Amino acid sequence: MTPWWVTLMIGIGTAVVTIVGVVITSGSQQKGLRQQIEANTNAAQASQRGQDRAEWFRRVQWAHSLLGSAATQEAGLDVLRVLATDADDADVRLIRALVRTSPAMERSFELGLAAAERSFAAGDELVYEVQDGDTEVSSLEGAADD
Amino acid sequence: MTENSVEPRRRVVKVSRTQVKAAQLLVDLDKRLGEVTPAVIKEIAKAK
Repeated sequence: MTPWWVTLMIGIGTAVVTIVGVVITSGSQQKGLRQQIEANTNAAQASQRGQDRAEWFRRVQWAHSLLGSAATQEAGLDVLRVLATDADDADVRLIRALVRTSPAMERSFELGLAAAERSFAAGDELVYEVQDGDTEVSSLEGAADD
Repeated sequence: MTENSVEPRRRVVKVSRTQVKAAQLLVDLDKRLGEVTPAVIKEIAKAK
């Protein structure tokens, strides 16, 4: 019959081996993940074009958010103009779509439609008068209608 | 002035500075793409 202390020692030994095994496995998994992250980071850094694209889109997103507010939409337009400088055709189309659908231009399109609905006689002069600030005025004034 | 004569009328459309700026950007982008800008946008872009 095995003495009790031998059984205890075997038990303790098994437990130690199990714990060490778990630690080694866990450490190995962590090391694998860390290596994986490092590899991805290196790949991203190596791909300068990919990083530039990501940064470009982040700036476009920022400019788009600026267009949403009357107080910042002019700044948004400035940012988009700069971003369009080196953009390819597809990116220029994206920027154009953002500008066209911005609140400022939506009003302009409404204004254009309003102008189209009015029948202008040949020889009529159409003058666009710029207002300071962000005017809500988009009406047509017939100067000679009086 | 006779009854049938038509006086040319002057119509004023008020636009904001931001609208002009947006129109100018649209005209430039359309030029880059070689596409035609809607007439109303071109007119707004010309506003000083």
